Amino acid sequence: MAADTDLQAPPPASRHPLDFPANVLASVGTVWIFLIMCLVVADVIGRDFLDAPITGVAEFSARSVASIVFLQLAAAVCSGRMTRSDFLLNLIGKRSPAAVTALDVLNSVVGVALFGALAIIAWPELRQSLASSEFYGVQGVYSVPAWPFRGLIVAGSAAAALCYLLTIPGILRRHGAVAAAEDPLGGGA
Amino acid sequence: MSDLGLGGLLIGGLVLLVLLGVHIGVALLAVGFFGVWLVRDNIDMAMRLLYMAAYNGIADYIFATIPLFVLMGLLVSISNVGKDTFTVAEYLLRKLRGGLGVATVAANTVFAAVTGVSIASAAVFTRVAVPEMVRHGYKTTFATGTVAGSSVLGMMIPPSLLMIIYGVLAEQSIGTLFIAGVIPGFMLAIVFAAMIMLMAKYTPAAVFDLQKEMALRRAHQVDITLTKLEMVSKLVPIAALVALVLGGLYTGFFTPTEAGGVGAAGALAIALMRRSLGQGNLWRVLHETGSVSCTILILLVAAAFYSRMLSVAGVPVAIAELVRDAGLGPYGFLTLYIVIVLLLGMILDSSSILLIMTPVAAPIAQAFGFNMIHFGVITVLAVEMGLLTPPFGISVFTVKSTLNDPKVSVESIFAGAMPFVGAMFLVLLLVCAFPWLSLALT
Repeated sequence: MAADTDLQAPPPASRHPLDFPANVLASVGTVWIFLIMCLVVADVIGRDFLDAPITGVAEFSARSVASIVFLQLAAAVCSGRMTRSDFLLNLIGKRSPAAVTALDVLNSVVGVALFGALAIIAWPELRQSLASSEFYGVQGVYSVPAWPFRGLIVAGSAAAALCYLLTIPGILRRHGAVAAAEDPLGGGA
Repeated sequence: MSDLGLGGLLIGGLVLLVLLGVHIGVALLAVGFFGVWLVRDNIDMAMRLLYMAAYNGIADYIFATIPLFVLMGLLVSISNVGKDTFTVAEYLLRKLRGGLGVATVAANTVFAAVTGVSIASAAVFTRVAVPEMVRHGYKTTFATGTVAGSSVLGMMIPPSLLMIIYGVLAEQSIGTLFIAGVIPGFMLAIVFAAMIMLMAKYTPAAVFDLQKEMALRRAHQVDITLTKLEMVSKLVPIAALVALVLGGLYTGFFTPTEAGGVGAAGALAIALMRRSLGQGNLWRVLHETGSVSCTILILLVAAAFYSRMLSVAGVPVAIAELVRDAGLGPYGFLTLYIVIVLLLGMILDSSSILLIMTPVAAPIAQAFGFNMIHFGVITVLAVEMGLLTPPFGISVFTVKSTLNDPKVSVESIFAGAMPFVGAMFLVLLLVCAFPWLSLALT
């Protein structure tokens, strides 16, 4: 909903310096989604036809959702696909491109502060999880360590904060070039 | 500060940030954070709640539906299933005046049952239906308006991402919401089709480029012909997928997440059989799935946090009291709510409206004794009208950008979609007046 379902490549106009590492993270998340699909189908088939449900699919999928989001977050920031309302920006942009640049920078600064804070808040939770070897599942039946899930919150937020920070030079450069009329950051539906 | 003043500040602050172009997820999280801090005067609590939202906010099996349904929709979109459905509908309705318009609605209805995103429908049918209609002497305004207008079916007929978002925020069963959308969705399709036929009959100048159509008719243009076998082979894949997903949901054989997983696997099988996944298409679809899902899910994380903050601050209770003190009954409240949603629909996109309004309105509606499933269908319908209302109508923008024809202005597409907004309003009124329309099947 937040993006064009068109399968067009994102506009190459302004490549983000962190594009590559962000895409690597996102690719892990992408493969993870496919894996969940396979697991869910395997569980359905196993449960209904072979009388052999796969334990833990529901909980593993549930846990995975947040991890997938945080893996993809940096790429969404880099490619400018975070959902945003550009209705007022377009109006302002017609009168004053400088104001739009200022608002774009404000947006990035808020993003840096927020995800930076989240990474810092999430860090002690990760350490505690490692120290106590926290796990999910039922002891003796199946168990999944919890620290990778907690770790991905730290890593994903830190990466997103960094990506927000490094969009700022691009915004300023674009301001030097053209007015912000061509805004690739569409809102969602 | 009174709860109400505080509520105004917190909601107003959010709307301001969103309008100033702050990413919506970030705005929700930031306002939520400062809200908790301010209300409880306790930054530790704000930090703890923020972390919990990030870590636990979407750690539920139901949220896995979102990537799975997105994947299914994208796989179906690239395997030309939309085009095939349209071709069959076009053939079946070739004798009817205005038939291509009705065919667009019909194909959209079927397509909506395998995709949960309106703009997916808008993009697919802009490429498929608009050139075909224009070639047959339809006005471009009408053709594009029809595609934009009927794309809203994608969100009403299950699976629907907006229903998932509402269900999550209002804590309602998503499976039940899906089923509740079936009758209003089909009703919408029928009203659209009837409207197109009436327009073709009584105001043909609004539908056809009359001179071109006359010339075409005199030329007895030979049209596509399909054998029965061809029709069946075009329809079987999508029919099987619809039966699998809707049937599985309705009979309770699948949970929504399982329906998503099985549907995505089925769509993958169709795409593989049609050899649509070559040249890196599979990877592009997967990548797109990840990116679309992430942007939706981060909004849900943020909205869950924001709505928890609002309830910590007692905002819904305060507003509910205000509404009651103002002497508004349940229907007064509903009217006010719909008006606000429609107004927001002119400037914001659907998910943002749901994210801002549901946490505030759902507790109030519950206090007034509304059935929350009924209320959800009303909400989604009202929000969907915003896809078509100027100045910000994302379905219209999608048609415009997919068409990429400088001769077709955004204004003309908005104009073409206007009758559909009217038809939606009619259905909205009916659904409000007759709750059983949404509750009969649940």
